Amino acid sequence: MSNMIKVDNLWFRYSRDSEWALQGINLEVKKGEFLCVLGSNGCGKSTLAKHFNSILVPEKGDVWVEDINTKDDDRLLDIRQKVGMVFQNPDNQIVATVVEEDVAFALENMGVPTREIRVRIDEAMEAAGILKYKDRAPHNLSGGQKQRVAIAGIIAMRPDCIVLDEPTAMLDPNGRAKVIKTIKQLNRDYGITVVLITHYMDEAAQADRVVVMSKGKIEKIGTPREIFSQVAWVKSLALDVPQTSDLAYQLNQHGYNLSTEAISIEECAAQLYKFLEE
Amino acid sequence: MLKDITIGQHFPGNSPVHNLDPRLKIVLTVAFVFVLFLSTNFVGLALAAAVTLLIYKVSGIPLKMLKKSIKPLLPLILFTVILNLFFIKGPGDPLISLGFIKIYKEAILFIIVMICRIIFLICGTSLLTYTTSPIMLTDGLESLMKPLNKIHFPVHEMAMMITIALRFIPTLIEETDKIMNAQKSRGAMLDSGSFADRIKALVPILIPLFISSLRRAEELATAMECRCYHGGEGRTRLKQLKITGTDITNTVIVAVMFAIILSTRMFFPRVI
Ligand SMILES: Nc1ncnc2c1ncn2[C@@H]1O[C@H](COP(=O)(O)OP(=O)(O)OP(=O)(O)O)[C@@H](O)[C@H]1O
Ligand SMILES: [Mg+2]
Repeated sequence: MSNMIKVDNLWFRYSRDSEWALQGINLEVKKGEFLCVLGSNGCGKSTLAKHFNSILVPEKGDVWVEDINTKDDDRLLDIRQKVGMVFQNPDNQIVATVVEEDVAFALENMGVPTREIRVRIDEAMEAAGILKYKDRAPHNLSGGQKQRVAIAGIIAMRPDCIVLDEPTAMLDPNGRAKVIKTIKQLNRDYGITVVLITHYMDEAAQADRVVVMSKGKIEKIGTPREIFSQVAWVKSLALDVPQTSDLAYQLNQHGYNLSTEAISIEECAAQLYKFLEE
Repeated sequence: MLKDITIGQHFPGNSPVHNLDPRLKIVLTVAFVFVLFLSTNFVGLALAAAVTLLIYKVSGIPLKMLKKSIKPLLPLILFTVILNLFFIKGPGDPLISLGFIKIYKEAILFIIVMICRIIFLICGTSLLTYTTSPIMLTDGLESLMKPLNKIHFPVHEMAMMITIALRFIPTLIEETDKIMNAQKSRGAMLDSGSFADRIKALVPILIPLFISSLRRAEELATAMECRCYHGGEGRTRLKQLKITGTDITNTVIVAVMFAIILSTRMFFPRVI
């Protein structure tokens, strides 16, 4: 499988006399995958994400989007169209006073003809499940709905990849579930590569691969199973593991012998059931 | 409490007035202002009143909305009335003469004309904001001011600024409410004390509001960049302004009415 994004020995700091926020990052995001980035506060996740669509450019090293170097100014709009980005606070990403106008914003910027804008925003709003709010004012929507408006605004660009920086951090459980469902649908049904930055381990457990960062470096990359089964190590980085792995881990501390690899609720339940039968 | 404020009141609807292209609507409103100030006789003013009422009728905007928009201006109107009543002098004898106060016929006529003009002015311009969404209004302005681009006036940027300002008014009002509550819960007295005290109490509200607005602005700018924003160049629009046949017909009808009002200048004597 070819690469969507390739990060090659990336070093970055915000100013000459500050510490390196990113220290030699190497990472390949594969086309069509659902990648999750974990790490404690201030470890550089957002800084890394902003390199993916050329909001920031490396001081040393390179970032490639397909075959475009993000330092290539002439291809800036191509990069931004290929890699869309959604941020934490939906209030600060919505530009227009009507939902459908906001979803159309990127297409207007790209100079898409009016008739095609209409078709593409309807598609995007449908995919994000907000078609019924298209004439509403964004400030009258709930947090989860607003965040899906922001997502629709990105998918209207028909990007190949969406980077989401803690999109669910300000949402209630219901809004969070809807947003995650939308993201997974985009990944599965539309084949859009997804990079999700999150502090919620149950969201990370649904990814194809998980990247664990600490202090500007990548500590480990692996499947959720590989990462979360090492409960003690994950906890040493001040991170949580999904409740399922944690349950097995806590029981093991009391002398049981359960596998911490069972990270889905079904697996975990099946394992406990089997254990109790014995 | 702050949430109840409505700004740029807009009453969506589907009348010919609502549907008229915003550019034509702006032009007609400006023309109406000129017509009012060129009407110097009562017949013209009466016709202007009739035209205003007719357009309100067509737009379906309830007339009681007018009361609301005129009310805040009453002190201003009253002030003009009093000022003019005493200071305008005519050639003939005063109508009323009480010691040093002399009131002339010209003053009374002038005041009546002035009040009519101010009221019609408010009615006419309110109609523009009542029947046009803020977005359409900025789009219309942007399109009308496009020629100014030639002298390097940043037309698109202005329109974008207005749009963003409109978009953030509710967000910032909500935020102000939150900060006020936060400060109150720490014992700030916002609603009591002398005027100076209350002004001082605003400082701990405004500073957090400014700081958070700056942060918002930065985040919004990044989000806009992520969506390929690069100024007005090569931009297309979802809703393109288009002048239809009906628009032209309606504009011509209104223009003819304006012309009739103006023509009264030739047949009736000036009252002021
Ligand atoms: N605009 C900025 N200017 C200067 N330093 C910054 C800026 N943004 C972030 N930093 C610093 O860079 C480092 C990495 O920050 P970053 O925002 O990438 O962390 P993060 O992993 O996204 O954290 P969080 O989980 O809190 O979102 C931090 O030490 C932070 O203080
Ligand atoms: Mg962050």
